[in-house]
Amino acid sequence: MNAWLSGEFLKYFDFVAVVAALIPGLLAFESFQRQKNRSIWLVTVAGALVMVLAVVFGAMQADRGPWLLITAVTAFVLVLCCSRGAKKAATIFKLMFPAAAAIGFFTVTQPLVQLLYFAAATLPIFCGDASESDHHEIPLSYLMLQIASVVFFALGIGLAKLTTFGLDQKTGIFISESCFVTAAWLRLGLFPFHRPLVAFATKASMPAVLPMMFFPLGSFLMMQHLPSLAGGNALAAGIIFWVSVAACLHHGFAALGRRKLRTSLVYVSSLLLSLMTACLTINDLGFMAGELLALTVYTAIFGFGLGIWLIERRFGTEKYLFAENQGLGGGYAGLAPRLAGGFLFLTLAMIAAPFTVGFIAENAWMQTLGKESIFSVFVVLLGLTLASAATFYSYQAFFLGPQKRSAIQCDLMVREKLALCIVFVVIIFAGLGIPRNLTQKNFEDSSSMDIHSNHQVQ
Amino acid sequence: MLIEASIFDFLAIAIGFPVIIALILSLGFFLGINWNEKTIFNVSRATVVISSVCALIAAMLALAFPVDVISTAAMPQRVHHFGSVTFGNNLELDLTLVFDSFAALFTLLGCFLINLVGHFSARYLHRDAGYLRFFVWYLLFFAGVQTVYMAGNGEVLIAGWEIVGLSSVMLVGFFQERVRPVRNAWIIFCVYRVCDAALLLAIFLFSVASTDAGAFLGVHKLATNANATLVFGAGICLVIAAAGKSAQLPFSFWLPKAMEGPTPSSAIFYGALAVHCGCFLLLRSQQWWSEYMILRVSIILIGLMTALYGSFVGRTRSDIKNMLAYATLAQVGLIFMEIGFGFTTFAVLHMAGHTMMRTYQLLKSPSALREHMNMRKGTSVNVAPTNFRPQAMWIYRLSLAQGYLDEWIDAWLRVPLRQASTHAARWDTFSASVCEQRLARVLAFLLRKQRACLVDTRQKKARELS
Repeated sequence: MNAWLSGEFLKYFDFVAVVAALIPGLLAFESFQRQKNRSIWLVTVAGALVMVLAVVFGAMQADRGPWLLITAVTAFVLVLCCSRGAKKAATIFKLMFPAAAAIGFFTVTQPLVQLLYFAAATLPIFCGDASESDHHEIPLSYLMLQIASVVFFALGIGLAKLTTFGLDQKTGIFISESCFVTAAWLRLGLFPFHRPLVAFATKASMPAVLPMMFFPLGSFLMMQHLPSLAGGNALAAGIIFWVSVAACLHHGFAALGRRKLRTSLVYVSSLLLSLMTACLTINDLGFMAGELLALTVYTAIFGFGLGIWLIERRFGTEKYLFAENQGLGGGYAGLAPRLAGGFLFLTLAMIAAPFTVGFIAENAWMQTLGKESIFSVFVVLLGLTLASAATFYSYQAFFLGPQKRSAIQCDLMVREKLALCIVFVVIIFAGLGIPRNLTQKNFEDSSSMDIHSNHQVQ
Repeated sequence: MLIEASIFDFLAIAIGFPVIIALILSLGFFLGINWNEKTIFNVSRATVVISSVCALIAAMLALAFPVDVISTAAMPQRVHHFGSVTFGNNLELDLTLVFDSFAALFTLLGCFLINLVGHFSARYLHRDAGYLRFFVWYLLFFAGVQTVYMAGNGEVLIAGWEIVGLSSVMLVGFFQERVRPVRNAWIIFCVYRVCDAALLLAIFLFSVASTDAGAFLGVHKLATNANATLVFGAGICLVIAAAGKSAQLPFSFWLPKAMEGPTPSSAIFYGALAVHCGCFLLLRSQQWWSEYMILRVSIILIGLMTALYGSFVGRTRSDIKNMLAYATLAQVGLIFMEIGFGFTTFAVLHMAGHTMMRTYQLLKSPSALREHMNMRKGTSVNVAPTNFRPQAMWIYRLSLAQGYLDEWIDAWLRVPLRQASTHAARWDTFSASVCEQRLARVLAFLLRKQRACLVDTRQKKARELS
């Protein structure tokens, strides 16, 4: 009992997370795949629930609680959405693996173990994408980007530990922090490395898994290291700030010029991530806004990605051309009204409408960027306005317009409705719950990793 | 203190209750409940009536128990701070409502008109596939517009402002199986987003210029040490936001497009409440922007030009809803002028009167032809209006082409934006393909080298063995 009260049990959570991921991993075995569909599905859900429970307990104690909680919930939602059936077992495994790796990454504090989790999260990419189909095609550039991010992470750890280069401590820390930030930058696919992500998004057949793979780990790493890097070097902070602000505008324009839901999603998420990065370069206030943005944006992006996945399962990927090219809208709202309604809510969350999670962060980022430059607020607002126009257009182009006559009725199934309901609850209540309880901490505590404290002690 | 709390509790119910009911109705539909028309209408009507009664009780309490300040107003301003969400040490998100005679007047007027339009819609939309959709957005609009009227700070105002915009857009695209309403809805969405961004920027600049955020909506007086340049910048953004929301020039092109929605929504949004939100915003914040002569003159000029534009173009329209849309533009332009001149009371009266009259006209518009025929039968007189004299043909041509406003917007905004976005997307694709090709070449080169090395090594070994 005392162990529970003192929080000693927390050290087992990384282990629990991996075990939970291995339960659906059982499904990959051929012998298990011969079992009945229902039992496979139940075991999978049980595994996901174990993970959620582990994380719920962890979230109450750990500093990284919100990340753990949101990652676990999203993993659970994805598994819930998966179709029953032995053929889908490998997909579930591929879904759970990055989630388990992300949870492990948030739970542990040892840099080397973190590196392992950081590399492991990309494993499904190396095996082929986390797709439902047998079509495995990964763009070379994306693969290289992920490898490079792992290499930079390893370099960062190595440089922080080694003091034999003859460099002074300050320079050593600066270089190692730069490596970490570069690793996060590459993992998130921020400007100018966003194109591989777009290529990956176009070819991967499960868009919802995208944010699962690159977003939480990259954002968390960025939050751990960028504030201290920016605090120590004003020039680097300035460069990162203005590159991110310019990227916001670029992504806004590019999103408007795109004609596919998936690429639109990638550009809008890149825009929001760039905004988060810009906020993180500003001390104290920026960390609060950055963390808030990261959490809220992740929820919104995940929801939107899930919506796209559900659409794809019904109408295929080739039908994402916009209305303008065809002269007509998609008209699927008549065939799937509940999916249309659900997707509309997810779209509204993406454009930070009131009552959704994104709205709460608007004030925070404006105040933060305003401290640095009022012009940057104007630029980012312009980018966001363009991006929101593109996002709303994507909803309209797909669901509204004259109804297709030949298509069959194909609305949401019960488990999909349940999954979407969970996402709705998170979108509505995370905006109210996250800021009050979870961001009230000093950024200095969390931004200094153990390796740095070790380094400083040395 | 108890009375004070009770007033704002009633107001919170008036705003929050429609939102909750809208969420329940939509969630029920999402989970598979097929609400019938009767249920939808009864629930919506009950919700709006309860909210209206709450607002009425709050207004009566406020009248009966005036605040303890020396004021000549019948209902002095009451401000209630519900709480705030804090992020760390410096960031704070306040939830403040304000209630005074101005807010009370518009709240009660809004309640009355929304009730009226709700009754009308029940029959008008009978057996329409989007019956539930209409009432959900109708309830959300009700909550949004009440929030705008009672907002005590920028954050609350922007929430209400965005809800009004979203519900308006969704109801313009109500007939979703047709192409034009859907396209028009997107155009209006874009205009509203620009207004939202302008309002956000105004609030932000104001908060930077003055630490007292309450002064933005006239809750407090603006501090004398506020940065005048930034306040002026906030004023420009505010005028853009107000002009966009109230369809003043150069944003006037969206109002006739918005008439694609069902008549009840046109009545309540573009005849009555939503189109006057810009005027309301200007009146609320008049205390600080009226110090700047340039802003006042620009508001007057915008109003004057829109009034002329609306009255000329409206006379060349051949359908009743478009004609009413341009008439609305003209009247709202006049209200802008009144606000610019500082005739506050006159502007408020004009707004209230215009709201009532235009709602009536728009609700009657579907039966306008029948009315016209009846009038002809009864009076045996041709009552069709004569529009322009032949001498003013150039004005007629200009009005017929709606002042070429659509063409101007296309040439100066839509096409450049589209080109810029296409260039951005193309540049991305081009740069990526070049990078990928280079990367592939480097990798292929390395692989060739490695293979050559392997071959060399094997050959060397073979030679050694031989």
